[in-house]
Amino acid sequence: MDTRKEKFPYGIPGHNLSEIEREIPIEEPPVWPINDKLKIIGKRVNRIDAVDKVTGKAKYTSDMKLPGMLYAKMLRSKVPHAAIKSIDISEAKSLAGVHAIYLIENTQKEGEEKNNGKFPMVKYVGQPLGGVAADSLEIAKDAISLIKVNYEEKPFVIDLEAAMEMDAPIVFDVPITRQADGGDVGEVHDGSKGQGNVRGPSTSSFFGGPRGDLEQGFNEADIIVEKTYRTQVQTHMPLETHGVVVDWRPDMMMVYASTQNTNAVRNEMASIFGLPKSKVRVVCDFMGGGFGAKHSAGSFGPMAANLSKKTGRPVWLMMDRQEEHIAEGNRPNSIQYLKIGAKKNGTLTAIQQRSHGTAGVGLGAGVGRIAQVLYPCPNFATEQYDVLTNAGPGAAWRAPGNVQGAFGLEQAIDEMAEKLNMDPLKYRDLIDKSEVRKIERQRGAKLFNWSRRQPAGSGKGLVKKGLGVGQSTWPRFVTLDSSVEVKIHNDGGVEIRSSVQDIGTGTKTILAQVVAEELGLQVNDITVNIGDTFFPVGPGSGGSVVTGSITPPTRNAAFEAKTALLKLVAKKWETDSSELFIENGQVGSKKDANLKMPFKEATKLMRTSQISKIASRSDDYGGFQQPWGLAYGDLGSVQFAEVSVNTDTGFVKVDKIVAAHSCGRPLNIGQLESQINGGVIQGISYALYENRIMDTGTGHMMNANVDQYKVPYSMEIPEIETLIVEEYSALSSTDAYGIGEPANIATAAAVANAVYNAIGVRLHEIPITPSSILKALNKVS
Amino acid sequence: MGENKPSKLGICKFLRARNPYGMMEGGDQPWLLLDDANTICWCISSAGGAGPDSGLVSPMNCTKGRSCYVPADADDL
Repeated sequence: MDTRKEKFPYGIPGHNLSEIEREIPIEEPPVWPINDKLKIIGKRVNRIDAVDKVTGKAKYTSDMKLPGMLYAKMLRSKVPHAAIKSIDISEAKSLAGVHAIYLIENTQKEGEEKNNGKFPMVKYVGQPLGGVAADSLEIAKDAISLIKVNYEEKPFVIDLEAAMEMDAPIVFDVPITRQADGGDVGEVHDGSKGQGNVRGPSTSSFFGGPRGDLEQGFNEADIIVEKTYRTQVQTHMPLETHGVVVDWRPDMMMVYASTQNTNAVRNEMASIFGLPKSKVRVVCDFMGGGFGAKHSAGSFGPMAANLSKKTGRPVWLMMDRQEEHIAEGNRPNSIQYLKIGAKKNGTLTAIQQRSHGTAGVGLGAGVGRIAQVLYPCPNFATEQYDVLTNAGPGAAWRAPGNVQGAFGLEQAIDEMAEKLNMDPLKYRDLIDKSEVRKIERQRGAKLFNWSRRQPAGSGKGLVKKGLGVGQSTWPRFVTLDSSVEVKIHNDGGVEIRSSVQDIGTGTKTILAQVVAEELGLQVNDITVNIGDTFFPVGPGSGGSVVTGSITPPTRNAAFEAKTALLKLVAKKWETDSSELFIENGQVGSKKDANLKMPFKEATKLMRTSQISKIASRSDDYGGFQQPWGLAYGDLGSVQFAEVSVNTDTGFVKVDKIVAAHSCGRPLNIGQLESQINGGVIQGISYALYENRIMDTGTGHMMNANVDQYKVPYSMEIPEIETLIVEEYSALSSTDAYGIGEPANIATAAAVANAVYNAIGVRLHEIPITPSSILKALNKVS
Repeated sequence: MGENKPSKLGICKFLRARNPYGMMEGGDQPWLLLDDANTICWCISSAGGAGPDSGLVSPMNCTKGRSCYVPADADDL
């Protein structure tokens, strides 16, 4: 095998840093030392696109203006469950300025027996039915209002628990045969045999299935905590809504997309329209945020493409805020039953979890795997059920399932600690075997001054202070289909190309840092061209996979390009290229300090106009837990929350969060802090404010706006202190991972635990509102 | 994750698994759930969680025999 052995830094600086020898492919670059010995990696480097963003030069999808471009609006269902008898577009069609109307219709295949009707069955309010392209958005909206849809309405169900009832209207028309004991149909999760509105349970994951013997585990327990926790539906609220501009030219479908995954959008559009992938180009230069729901072309992508095809003109189709709320994905709600057993010394003996949640007309409303893996426990079982309702579909949403799951589990662990008469942080020291979270607890507690925490509800006065903690884990995922091209041009320019997109987290900057570090240049010497499917395929921005997937091949490609360049210099200097290096923009020689050549001059030695190297993500050094890219280790966090609760008004103010995190080798401290800040703010928003309110009588979302759908404003955002623990695992050429998911998982649990500490009454449901606080304090009925 | 994984050739080409891990595209199994409890199944033909036949979308359902099923060409993925 073409391998070599190298010693890598391993462990946590200031705690247990050591070295580990790895056998790595011979073409991999030499090991990087820890960050304090590097010049650019791990430093607080400004975003390379910061000026473009703050001056308005950065153009987002919604800013796109193409010659002859039309504006589109989608026709959406106004009822939650119906068959469509007819759609009358005559008035809309004749409206001046309308260029095309496209209705979504069922296509009957040749020889097909079943007739599904002309139009798809309506299953939720907001379901797309068609679209209009017009000279302006106003005309398109007017045209939509002129379309008459004749519905044959059917019974519907919106509420999670109502949908579980035996006599509930059926969302997918299969007969109900369900045990009457709470919804367990005992069938496979995906509905192939399940009936009624309940599907499940899911009992296993890539972490395995049930462990041990629950009954025996609870028999061995001295103390049992048994509670039910509830979380709400949270919708997506990125600054930039979903949308595309599609320009379907005769030779190419050009798609400008606000997406977390240019490659997925390209592949979907190619599949839907039967085009070769090479005939679809997706570009996402700047992107106004996405939290999981923007991985696909959605319904708006094909709609814009159909309208563009019909008119022969580019079509702009961006969602408005209402559409974003009702139809573009949400975090499913949950009802989680948790039973935890422990011995008197705190040792966990059993964890049982059962959840029901609804992702509307879709599946995937589980509560994650956090209860399965955060704390070792010999006896464990989970049952996670989907409940179908006539509401907009769920979507991946920043650490799907795990945020809901952490809210339940981390409160239950606190409740267990209290029953054991133990400090909740010390109890986690006892039951959590993660070395990195141990350090996060130690350093975080010091920064937060955890020792000032008082017994629950012991504060005096109207406004009571409380301190709480919550923990999280998130797997290290790697997308193996991650490639990047690094070019060194013969004018000294260096360019990075990949289809990976920067959704606002700073991907462009970390790629420039990696290449600058490898080439001995400065960050502003590097041009980053990404977010374009004409470039090598990069990963989607989800699951915190980007950094761990794309930075190793980026470094490897830069290393290969550098090696090729140094060979040219070595030839000129009549020496061995292995003796040469690049530092501070100069090529130098380890043997002869007098030999120096500026990088730019070295690039002029090329016979060709460029050196181009493409690298793809290789396997982790030492392999994966699962061959598809589940890496060893995890991304742990410990978050501390300080709250003030006004016991007269019920108002909760989060005063401070200390967020202690790890993500392998940190690449850019400033950007990590920024992402953690965002995750914490979203977590607070989830704990205290956001809540989709549905009218169960009409199926409409009642707060599909940014007024009544609450998110925190600046005065409600607390002081946030981040603490990043370097952790070296020697798994790749950068040994770096993302932070997107972990930043968001523990916050709501930490806030809820702090609220309990403040008032001495535990709230098992979020959002925690003034009303729920006053009810908990028996001040209102 | 189910013990019996569906085979590639038996799955509708329009099914996509929107799993929590950003990996629903890129490989040759874009419908692979990875974690069924937290994965949204999506039909890119009907652009929703319900298929063109108004039935539920999932790897076990989107197979040959369903009226809207379209086989995947090996080189289409």
